[in-house]
Amino acid sequence: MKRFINQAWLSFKIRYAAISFEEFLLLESLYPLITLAFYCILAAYSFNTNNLAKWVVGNSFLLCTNICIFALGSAFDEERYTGRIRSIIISPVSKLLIVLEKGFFPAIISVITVFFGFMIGSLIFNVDFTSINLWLFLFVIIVGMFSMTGFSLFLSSFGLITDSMHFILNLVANILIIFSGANFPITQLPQTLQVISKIIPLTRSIESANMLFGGYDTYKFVWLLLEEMLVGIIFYVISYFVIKIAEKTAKKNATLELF
Amino acid sequence: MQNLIELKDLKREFVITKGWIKRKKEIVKAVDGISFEVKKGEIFGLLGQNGAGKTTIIKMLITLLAPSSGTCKVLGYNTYGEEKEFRDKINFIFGGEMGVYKRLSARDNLKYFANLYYMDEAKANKQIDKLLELVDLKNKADVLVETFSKGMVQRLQIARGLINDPEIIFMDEPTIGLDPLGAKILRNIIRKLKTDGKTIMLTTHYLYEADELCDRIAIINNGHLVALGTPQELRNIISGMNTIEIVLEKVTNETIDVIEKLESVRSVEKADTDKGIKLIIKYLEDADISGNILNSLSGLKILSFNQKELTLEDVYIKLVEASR
Repeated sequence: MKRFINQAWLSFKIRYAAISFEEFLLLESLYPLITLAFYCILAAYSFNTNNLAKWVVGNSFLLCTNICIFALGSAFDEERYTGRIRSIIISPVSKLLIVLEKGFFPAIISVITVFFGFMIGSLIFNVDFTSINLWLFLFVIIVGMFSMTGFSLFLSSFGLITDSMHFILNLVANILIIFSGANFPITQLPQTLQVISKIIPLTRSIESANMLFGGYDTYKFVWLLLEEMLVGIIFYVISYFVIKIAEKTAKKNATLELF
Repeated sequence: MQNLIELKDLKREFVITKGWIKRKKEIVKAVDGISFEVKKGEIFGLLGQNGAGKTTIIKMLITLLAPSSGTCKVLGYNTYGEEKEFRDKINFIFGGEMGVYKRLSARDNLKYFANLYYMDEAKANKQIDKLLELVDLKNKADVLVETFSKGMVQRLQIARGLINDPEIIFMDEPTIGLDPLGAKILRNIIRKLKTDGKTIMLTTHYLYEADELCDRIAIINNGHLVALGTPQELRNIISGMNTIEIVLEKVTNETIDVIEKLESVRSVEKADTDKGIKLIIKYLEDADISGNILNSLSGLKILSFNQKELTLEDVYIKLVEASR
């Protein structure tokens, strides 16, 4: 465990050592908040409503995409571009562990970003969060981030075999915006496209977080969180195998050092 | 002696796709049926031109690349499919500035790489101190690598390659970009590793380096093995000829005829240079003809006299040209 934390901390330093603390704060707070504000203002005009709770909640969850999708998803991609992938591949370390280590601190930052994003967004857009259980809300965020991390692990494995990760990650980030229910009601999507909402992370945590704002069915709330966790677990398990397959494929197709 | 590396009819092909709409596939044979073994404790040199297949062979040996066919074994295990069995016993040093974390200090870099081998923290710290001293980076241990010179980055690469105290070290042009002092440090490290019983496979374009360090050398060209042997055995392959180069103020054709007729002389070439007329005399390796040549040049002004023994470079050029 100590080794894991050490390695996670070094990975974190690698990512953020180039920027100052002030830049780090701005990057992790200002940029996500402006994104949140953009979608909330868009929703206010599109749906002609002053009750923006749904959009503040949904988009605060999407704030994690900056870290989860782009930081974790590009874990192998970055190592390939800098020639460090050789040391990782030839060493006995589990490649899954490498991504988990890279994602450990970013995932914690994601939880904090989402939580404070929600608080600040609520203050800006007059969302009353005094009536909700903030500890429960925080728990929903943690479950959502768990699920997102699994999904990001799965995405990262493609970094071993393709040099189009920018395209893949941007595509996925937009799929989350459209299909997670953060901005558009899932029920209004075409029936076939609703399947996408069911297999991606965040959909259920956003729904359960929204439930906290009204009287909610505890059974349904718990069930949604369990489903969200299951989605995460499934992605972790798939990632374990996909990373192994991707490593073998990369060695066969000689894509490890192609860029 | 035990074979630690075994290559048998090893092949690696790359498929290259050309074109955007009409796609054409082209197969490039980077390694085409190479066979050799490397014994325990040996420094084995792999020489060849750019694109000869050296790096591809090394990549297959360090488990970065799967062979297309043939046998590629390290410590008795296939490098594709059984790599887990020996990964902790090998490492590599590649030339160039890539491969380290520039936003970390030298010490943090080595900590990170030590963790990839699940090294015990105390053991790792001891090894890191030892290696930083070995590559002369101890006083820069806590400085960010992005401030390092090219040579310093390369020395850090050397430390990284030795972090797990590997049994076999693969070095691909490790002295590239190193200043003479850095290159000397590395050559001394290689010698020390050999005395410690390590096995080393080395590729380099500096033939004097290969001559100085390697127990055996394989010369490859276009993916094929051209020659294999000790540096002396390779010299013997090309018929044991030596060369004398003499620059004269002037020389007559009669004098050249006299030299050509001397016993053991095989050829005399004449070339005009800025400094004078150069005679390149090739003769049998064991013969001692310098006295006879000087006698036949009596009365002529000799500007320079240079007796050259056959170098590995001469051998390499001859063999590679002959294999084209």
